[in-house]
Amino acid sequence: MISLRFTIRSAYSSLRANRVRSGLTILGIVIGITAIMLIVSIGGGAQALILDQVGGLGADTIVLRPGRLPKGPTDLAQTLFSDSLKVRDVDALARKENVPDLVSYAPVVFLSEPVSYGGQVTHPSVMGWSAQFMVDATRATFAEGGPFGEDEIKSDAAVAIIGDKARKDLFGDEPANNKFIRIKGKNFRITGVLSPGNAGIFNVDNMVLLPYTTARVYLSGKDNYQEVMLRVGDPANVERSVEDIKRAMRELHNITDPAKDDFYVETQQGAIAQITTILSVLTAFLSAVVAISLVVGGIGVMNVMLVSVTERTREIGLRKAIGARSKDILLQFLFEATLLTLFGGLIGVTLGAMFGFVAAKILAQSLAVDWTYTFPLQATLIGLLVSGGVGLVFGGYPAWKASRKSPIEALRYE
Amino acid sequence: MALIDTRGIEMTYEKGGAETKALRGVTLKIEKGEFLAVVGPSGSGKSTLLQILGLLDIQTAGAYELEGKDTSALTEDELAQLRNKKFGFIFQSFNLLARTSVLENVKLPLAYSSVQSRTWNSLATKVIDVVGLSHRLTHEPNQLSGGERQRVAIARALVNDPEVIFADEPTGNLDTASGRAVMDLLERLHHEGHTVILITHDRMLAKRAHRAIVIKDGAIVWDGRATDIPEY
Repeated sequence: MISLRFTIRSAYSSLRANRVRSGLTILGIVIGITAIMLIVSIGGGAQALILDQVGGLGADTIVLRPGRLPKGPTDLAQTLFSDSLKVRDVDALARKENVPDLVSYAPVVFLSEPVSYGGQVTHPSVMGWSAQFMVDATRATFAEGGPFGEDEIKSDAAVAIIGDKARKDLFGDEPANNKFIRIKGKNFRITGVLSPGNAGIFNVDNMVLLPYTTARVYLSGKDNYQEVMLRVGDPANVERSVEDIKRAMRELHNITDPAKDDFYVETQQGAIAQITTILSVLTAFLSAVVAISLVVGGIGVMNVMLVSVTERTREIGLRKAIGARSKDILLQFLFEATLLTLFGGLIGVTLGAMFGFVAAKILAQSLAVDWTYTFPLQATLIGLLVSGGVGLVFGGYPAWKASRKSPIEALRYE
Repeated sequence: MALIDTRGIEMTYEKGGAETKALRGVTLKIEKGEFLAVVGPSGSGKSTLLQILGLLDIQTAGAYELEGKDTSALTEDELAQLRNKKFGFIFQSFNLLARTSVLENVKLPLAYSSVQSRTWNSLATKVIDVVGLSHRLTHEPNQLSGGERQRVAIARALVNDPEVIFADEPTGNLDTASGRAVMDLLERLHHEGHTVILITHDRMLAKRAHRAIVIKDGAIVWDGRATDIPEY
């Protein structure tokens, strides 16, 4: 049996002998593998970023909303104007016997009120929430002061956190901390000013955040919330707690038929699973499109290998005359094609990794987000396997043709 | 038992529906250690006979026994193995691998043999020394003269220590001096015990062999001492 080392070495030296041709032949493979690496790398970065930000709320977070899970425009309107999530519901859910795993919760109140300071007026997004939940979810940092705490929430304190745009609109270049802003005729002391820029995917620049208690009692004046976030300590508790919440809500609202629920529950896990699926499908689709370039590259390899077999007919004849069997010739040409495409794959993987890294840097800078680059190891292995496979598949026919040549006819070839 | 024993070998080619008989009943015995010249005019069937004797092709009729063994039932792989082990080929056009060093060219038959790869270099350098090209080991064919290239081809034919050396017009592409050097080498190999079968259309060259056969129209028309070759 002919030695593997010899076969690889002969394949290598015959490829080296035609460097320019070999280089041009593998261009298609290089481009294909580079593109796949780039897509997977950017897709992976996007997925990591989105999951990080969605997951910022915590995988143990459950969101309870009034109305029905919107499936169309009518549902959406119903959900937006639904007031079925009452204060007493939240109070009931906060009790241990209803949701045993509950660790903390934060209802949300959305308001549309102008905010003023002195003669200056601005129209930010006013929101009643928990400052701690906001910080956890958005990873926001403070330029001045800090978040208000649980005590302020419990005591319906008139305190607020403001974003950078709201600060500029109201205070210009002056510091804003501990100053009082006015909303709906009531004064709120500023405990913190958020750092400018996006916090994750959330734009917090134009935000004014109040304790949800204060917002509801003094500003909305209603006995309902737009949503409530509940944390259950461990992602493993989510499923059980969702059932607890649903059961408690149905009891509170006297609902016997789940189809008539006037509330719906969303979990971070669900959202994460959805996003992961969408991004995976997108990445797979783009990779499939790029795979076409690999097929085109493969056809190029086949074409060049067929030319090479014809050119080297006398060499094939000589090898057979001195003892090469058909399968030795087959292996030799197969190795040549595979080595060629594998080399193309290797270049593609390297270029793809490099471009992916540069793309991550550019995206991080231009989108002002924390875009992390992770080396796509799986794509690398798949890229190398696929490029080797392209060599085997598209080098197969030329290699078979070479192996079928009769020594006499091959030696006679001019 | 003769080394090579053929009985009534025929070779018929079909081209464009017409049949051409290249060999018509060749019966020939070649003993071990002989230096045989096969002569005849162009198109007489000399090369076809070499191809059959060298197991590069199979006759369409007749029998060929190599060391008493019938070769007609051998598979392609078995034929390849026999060619590798028993035969060495020298062609008119050298057939060296381009852009491949002298050493690598000579090692080529070893790659298809069962010889351990760690001995390849020493075996190859030994035969390259025999043909007087030790100073050209790393040179590539395009850096060599015609005579040197043919000597590389001879070294390649020798590297597996074959029983029979087939030389098909080995001096056809060489000048007189180089041709003489190649013939000297073949004579030396014969003296060292190799069976040499030389195909040539040159009567003078054939006279350096011990025995000669004349082929005409695919049949042996004369068989005798090389020095007595008649006009054909």
